[in-house]
Amino acid sequence: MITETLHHDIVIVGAGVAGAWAAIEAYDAGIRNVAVVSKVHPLRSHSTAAQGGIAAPIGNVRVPPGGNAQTPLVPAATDGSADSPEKMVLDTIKSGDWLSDQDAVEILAFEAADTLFAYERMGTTFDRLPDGRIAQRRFAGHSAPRAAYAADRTGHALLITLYDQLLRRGITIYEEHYVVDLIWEDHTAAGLVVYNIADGTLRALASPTVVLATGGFAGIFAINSNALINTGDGPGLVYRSGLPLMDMEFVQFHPTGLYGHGVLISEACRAEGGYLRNAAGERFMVNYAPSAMELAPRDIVSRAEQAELDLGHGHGPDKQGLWLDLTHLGAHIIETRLPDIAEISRRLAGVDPLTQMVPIQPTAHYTMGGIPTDVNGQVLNERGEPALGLFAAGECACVSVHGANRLGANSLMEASVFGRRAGRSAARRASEIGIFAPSTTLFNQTLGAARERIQSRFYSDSKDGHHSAFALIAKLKNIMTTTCGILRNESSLAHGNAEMAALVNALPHIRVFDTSCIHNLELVRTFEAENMALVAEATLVSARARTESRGAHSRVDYPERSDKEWMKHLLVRRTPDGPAYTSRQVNIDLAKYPPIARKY
Amino acid sequence: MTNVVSHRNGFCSILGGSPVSTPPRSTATLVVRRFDRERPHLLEQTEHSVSITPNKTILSALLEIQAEQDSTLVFRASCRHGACGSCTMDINGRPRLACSRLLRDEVNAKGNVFIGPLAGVAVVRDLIVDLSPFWKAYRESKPWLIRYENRAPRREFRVRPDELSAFEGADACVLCAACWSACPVTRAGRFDGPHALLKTHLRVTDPRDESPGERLRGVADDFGAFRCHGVLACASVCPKGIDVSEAVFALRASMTHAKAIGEERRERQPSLLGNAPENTEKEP
Ligand SMILES: Cc1cc2nc3c(=O)[nH]c(=O)nc-3n(C[C@H](O)[C@H](O)[C@H](O)COP(=O)(O)OP(=O)(O)OC[C@H]3O[C@@H](n4cnc5c(N)ncnc54)[C@H](O)[C@@H]3O)c2cc1C
Ligand code: SF4
Ligand code: FES
Repeated sequence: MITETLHHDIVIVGAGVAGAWAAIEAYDAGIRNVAVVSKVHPLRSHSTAAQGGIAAPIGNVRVPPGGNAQTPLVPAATDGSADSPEKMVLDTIKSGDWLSDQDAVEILAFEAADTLFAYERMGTTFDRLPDGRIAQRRFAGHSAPRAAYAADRTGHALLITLYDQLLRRGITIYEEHYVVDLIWEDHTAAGLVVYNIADGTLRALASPTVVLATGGFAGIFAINSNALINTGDGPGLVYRSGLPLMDMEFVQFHPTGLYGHGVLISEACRAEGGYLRNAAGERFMVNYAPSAMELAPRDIVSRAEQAELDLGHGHGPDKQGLWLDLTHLGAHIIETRLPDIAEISRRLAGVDPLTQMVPIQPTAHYTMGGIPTDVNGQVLNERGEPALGLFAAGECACVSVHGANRLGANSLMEASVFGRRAGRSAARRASEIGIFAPSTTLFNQTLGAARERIQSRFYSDSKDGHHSAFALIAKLKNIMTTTCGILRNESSLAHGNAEMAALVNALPHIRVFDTSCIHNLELVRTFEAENMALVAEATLVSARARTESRGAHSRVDYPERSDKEWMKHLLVRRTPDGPAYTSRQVNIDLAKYPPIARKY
Repeated sequence: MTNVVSHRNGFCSILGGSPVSTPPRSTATLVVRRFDRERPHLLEQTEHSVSITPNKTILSALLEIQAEQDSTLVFRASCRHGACGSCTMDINGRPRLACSRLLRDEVNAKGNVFIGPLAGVAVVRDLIVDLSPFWKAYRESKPWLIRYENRAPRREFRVRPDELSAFEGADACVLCAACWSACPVTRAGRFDGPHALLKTHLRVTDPRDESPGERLRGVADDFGAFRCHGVLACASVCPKGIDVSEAVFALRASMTHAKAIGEERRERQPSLLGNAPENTEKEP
């Protein structure tokens, strides 16, 4: 393997909306030697798959007086007074079940409009109102129609806008490069080790600032809506460095994933009046949320579905399927308002939603927890002190805006707003540092160690005790889904913990059969398996430690929210003696936002 | 059909006669064209038997094969639902997104599905192809919005819905390269390519772009819109249903009055700002 070190002022890992924004802001702040590393081509990042919308309280539309949740929206006054950042803050804190940090939420809400307009000025093809303003749609949990959108491909429209801007600036992109290791010098980030997937070379990138924007990790569950590449690499790298991860127990499950695939069937199908039925054809929501029925919030509907499945009311060979019934909506509504859903049902399930029910099941969708950062993207250690040189933003980070449960359409905006902030802070640090000359010995050693680790993976003659990355990943996902899914309890989590510990121990025994240097995806899966296992371990131990139910974290044995004991962030880090926990108070003014129970 | 038995994972190969049978069949044989630069002689094609279930896609079948039968089979994939454009490959002789085709719809009467790398482009390994010429053509079309004027609205530019629909879904392109692969002109030599012309069309039509005249002149050369032979292969394969050739024809039609379009665009600028032009846009 050839090795060499390349120098940059800022290296950004990830080219989704968070990473791309960080690069653009850093460049525009005057740092020209910015590089972006992505394990896939930037446009293949998961951000491109986001469908519904991006939240910004610009108030371009409103519900007409006397209207309800189904009334068509009308254009609002051009001064934007129909909505306000204050309302967005309140909605977000409520949805987050009082685990969101107020300062972060306020930044999100107050910087959202500026960020949305910045996209627009760079050419994003948002849908429009007749007078040319950006159109907005309703999104569950938002008290005003707040989601700007580009048909049903909002994420794609945003990401391609940013990608075009990266091209315009000529920012260096290492595509199909996988980050294997972080390099630290005196507890300060000094660079990365990257593996070029296309040709198998290993390189070090020296940089005084590293921004992690590696996306979410709901891919650790067997049924999930995420891209195949969402494997928690950023949090895995951080956790391995002995730094903490925060609020890992909070994973959002979406009620309508396509049965057997997990691919998302958007929330719009319920907003338009779709029914959920069990195998017997009953609208079971009547037993769980009799007034809101199918329109109850995501976490509540997912829990109801899980309860039905646990009662054996599911369909399919594994009895894990339920039905989404749109047949009563009629061709017009389905073809005009739900074209994407119709398309996915036909193409991926071979079902025509006009006449047949769509098979669905709850699917792991979004990870609220991740790498703890301050509002400028600075990564924090367990004592809340900065891990110098390291920044994080987007779904891999935990600022925390989303608290215990993310509000739909907030995450694209969060990744954008905090991606920008992380890019600006990294630029400030890079210009303060000026010339950066890390120790060459350190780089040689780290590279050498990485190379040895990789070489030791290759197939050896003895077959004893060797594992395949594919088999371990399948097992890992299965453990997560069966022991740490929608409904959790002490015995399932204890069991999951034990199984995951055994799996973590098996990691060093993964062997790679494929010996090629060119697109050796088995080796890449091996790197990913390590990160997935560490992130899964952190999720399990955190879920076990938090003995209450809050937002998306639902403990059958502790069904109530316990503000006295648990209105705090839980941080977990790896030590030789096992997981070590610390906690951090939620930053919230309880007089301003008094905690109320979320009832629907 | 040549069956080359491989050493890999000990599976592979000649799966004795596939059931000659009455539908619905329960298994399919994926016949996969292989290529490995490091070992070009070793294998040309492998066959893999997988069960057919109602909602198994070609991509799910490939992932299953990779995980359970042959870990050396490589292909690109990310989103799993036709949104990211990664998984384009040749399925039964047509460029398709593997994640958006059901296995049961692709098997032929003998139970086979033929899978290969995207045609017309250099193969890197197995189903992974070298798309760098495709990306280069995209980059060289200057796909970003070009603004000269530095006035910007305090809020958004006012783009009318009819102006938005003028680019006819061009913004739905996921850059999957299916059109690039199907186009006989891209194969024959230098050509901007359907995807880049589509993006140019989008920018030429977007009232916010201030460079429509230059863009039109840019694609008027020997490698641009006039090189298109009107075979319409691009439109017939686009998984997003975009009428790519229509965009190319629209560009050609606009060329004759490029100057007028440029002037019109300049005149449109003040009204784009809405009523109150206030901010000054910073150009990097
Ligand atoms: C189906 C679906 C629909 C959604 N719809 C919406 C919506 O309507 N509205 C909304 O607000 N949110 C939505 N979300 C959530 C939203 O899409 C994500 O939270 C957001 O896109 C995350 O962006 P990101 O930039 O943090 O990460 P990503 O876009 O996931 O990007 C991660 C990047 O990191 C890179 N990377 C990762 N690991 C490595 C490594 N080891 N080495 C090198 N590179 C690496 C990847 O290549 C990629 O470029 C949706 C999510 C899903 C699953
Ligand atoms: S125009 Fe269609 S076929 Fe061509 S790259 Fe775009 S999505 Fe793919
Ligand atoms: S995997 Fe994204 S388009 Fe097929």
